[in-house]
Amino acid sequence: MALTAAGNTRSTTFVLNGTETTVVVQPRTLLSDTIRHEVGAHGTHVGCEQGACGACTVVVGGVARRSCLTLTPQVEGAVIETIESVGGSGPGAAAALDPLQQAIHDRHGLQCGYCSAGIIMSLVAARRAGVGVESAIDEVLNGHLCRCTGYVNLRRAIGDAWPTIEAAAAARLFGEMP
Amino acid sequence: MNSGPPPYSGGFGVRIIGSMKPAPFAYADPETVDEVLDLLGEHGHDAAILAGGQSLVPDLNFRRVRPRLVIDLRRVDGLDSIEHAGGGVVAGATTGVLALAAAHPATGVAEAVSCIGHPQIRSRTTVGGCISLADPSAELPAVLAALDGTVTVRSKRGDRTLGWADWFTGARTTARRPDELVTEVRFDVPSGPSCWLEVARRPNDLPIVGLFVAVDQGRWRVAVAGVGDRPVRAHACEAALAGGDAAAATVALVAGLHPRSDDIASASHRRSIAASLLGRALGALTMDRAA
Repeated sequence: MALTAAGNTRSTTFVLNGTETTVVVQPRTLLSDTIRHEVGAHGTHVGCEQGACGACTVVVGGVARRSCLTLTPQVEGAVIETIESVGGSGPGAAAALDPLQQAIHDRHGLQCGYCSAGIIMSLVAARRAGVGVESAIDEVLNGHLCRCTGYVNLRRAIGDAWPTIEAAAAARLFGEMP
Repeated sequence: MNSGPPPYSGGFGVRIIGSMKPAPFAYADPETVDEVLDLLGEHGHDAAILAGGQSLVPDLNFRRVRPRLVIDLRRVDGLDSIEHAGGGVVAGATTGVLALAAAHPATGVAEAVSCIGHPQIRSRTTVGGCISLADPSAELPAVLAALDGTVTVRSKRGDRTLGWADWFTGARTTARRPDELVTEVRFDVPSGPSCWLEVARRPNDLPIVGLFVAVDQGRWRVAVAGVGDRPVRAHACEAALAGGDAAAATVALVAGLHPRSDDIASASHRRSIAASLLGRALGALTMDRAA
């Protein structure tokens, strides 16, 4: 058992977006702050720091969770994905957006963009888990606050990009798409 | 190792000392229950136990709690099991509520779990955490009350098993002593249909009022959340249902509730919600039984 005294730091190693990463921080450091301030990956945003807004959502071990409600030592040995892992980052064709990102772009599913990274990470985990489109929209989106879009265009974007959507479900959820 | 800017460096050269960050604490991640009990025995009065963290960490962030020691249960073996024995289910301190729901699909237990928090919170929520936090509006404490649940705690002095009525001692308070760790949460699995219904201001918020109804070996079981400082078991309502009188059951349910008015809902509104939920629950269960 490792006991870290108050005020002391401790080493935590995890895999962040495919890169083994070691940070030395006080155990009270939130995962969101470790990702942003220690690693310097600023794609993950921080809003309420009480789990309500969803901006800081990351995928840990394949499951979407709030990085602001996670103490850094809790992810020892974990595989973490953030928005930086979604879509391509290379030049030319390798820079292609993920279909979800492209649909949100096409459908105007964001304005200020503060909530987008968290929403996309929740959706990436749900898509991989085979969640149906209705659950993705009604349940997963329920865990995210977006004060710009009113969710209408986000819902349309998810409907566009979801891999398993059925025509009947799409018609029921979105009506006629413009 | 990645390098980045110094921690908490704000713009304009301001070093942010955030009020939304936990105060310093000592941190331990023991691997066995015995190690946890040693720590609790020595530091229990100043310690917080971290399971899923979905209620503890917000409290830490806002410094509503300032423990000197946080004991992380993440590496402790044997606390996240689900076992079935004697017509009941036994969950551990760190058993996920999603695992509990998966073990009892299409029951009121699974319906109650589906109402806990947002999916991104629920993925981390634990049975032991819900029962230990003991929020009087929360789902699982009411389920425990309806299904004659018990909680087993362990300390270096030994084990104690308490019935739910002795466990919940007030709003967000339980009979757990500072040196004790929850090791088992046990409740009956109803043999017949069951359901959970709740009214919340937004889906996945804590409910204003929630209701669990089950039929177990011909016996009705009814419990209500959000109508007091702890879950309420509605014995008079159950007796009326046993007599087949739904109207009398509604009257008995409402007569047995003594909620307080607060800024979310008045007492009469809470009673009214409970009565409505009972009607809807009986409709749902009757259809289940006919099917």
